[in-house]
Amino acid sequence: MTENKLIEAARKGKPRAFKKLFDLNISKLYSFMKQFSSDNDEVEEWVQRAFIKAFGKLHQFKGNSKFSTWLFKIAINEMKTDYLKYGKVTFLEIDDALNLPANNVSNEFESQHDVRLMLLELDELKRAVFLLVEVEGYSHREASEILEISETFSRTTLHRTKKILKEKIIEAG
Amino acid sequence: MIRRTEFYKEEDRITRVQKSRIWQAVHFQLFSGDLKSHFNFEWRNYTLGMATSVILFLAGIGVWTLIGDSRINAESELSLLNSTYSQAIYKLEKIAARKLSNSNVKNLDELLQAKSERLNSVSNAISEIKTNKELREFETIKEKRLRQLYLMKLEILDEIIAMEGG
Repeated sequence: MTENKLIEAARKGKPRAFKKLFDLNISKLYSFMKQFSSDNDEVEEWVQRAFIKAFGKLHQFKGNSKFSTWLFKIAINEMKTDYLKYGKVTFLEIDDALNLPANNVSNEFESQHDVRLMLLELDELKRAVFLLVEVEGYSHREASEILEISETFSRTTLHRTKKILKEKIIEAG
Repeated sequence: MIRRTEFYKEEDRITRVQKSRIWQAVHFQLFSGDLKSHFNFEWRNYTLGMATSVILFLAGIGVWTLIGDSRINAESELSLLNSTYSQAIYKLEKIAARKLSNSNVKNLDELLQAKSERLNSVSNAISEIKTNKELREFETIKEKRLRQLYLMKLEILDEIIAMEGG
């Protein structure tokens, strides 16, 4: 069954459709959200709230993007809400001073497992853009939609993130 | 692009227990908790809305019929009254006209003339009120005035008949 048909069935309240949508997205979403907290309970909380909200507001989903894009966006917003609640605002401190060209940075991060740890040292926005585009395979348009930023800003953020990571790799020898 | 299977470590992957726990919570919210009540609420609203619409529709028909009936009743009562007045006036007019044509009382000419003119004025006033469309919104006032004029006309006719009789 296609995603659209699953969503249509879920809108009609069919439990199997909800379960299928859940199974299709839970692993990806959990792994992604896990990059923003070492606390498993906190991550579970974000993921759980994201699914409840997404399913509860399924009638608002227009289908212009993938369901997972919409789900990731909700999960990110749940995290932002908690960050604001607990006074942790790093995610919202968007540094758009740099306007570097998005191309020209070679991809040297394939099979680099320590990149994951280096990434944890960066702010949440850089981490999110890098994960969404480089790991999860979303386009910049989709990433910008999830993070509610412009596509250009998504590109420049990724460029900067890659540059920082590259420097860190060189430093690490 | 980095392959996600290589990027994420074991600790980043969700366990079966976690998956089951999250699904239980989502399922509970979806079918037993807030969301179920949300769906129920929507249905209840829909049902209540439909029921209200039907009741309002029927009530509307009821009110419309009631207004129509009262209007018909009021109209028929009014037309009966007008018809009675008209018939009485018509009969009295006939008597008055007959009596006047047979009259030999010359000194009453001026007085009769005056009463006749007054009668004509009242008759004209009655016709004017009956045909005046602008007075439609003031039906009650119009009917009251018509009744006064009918009575006035009856009095004049009565006076004419009485004069002749004298």
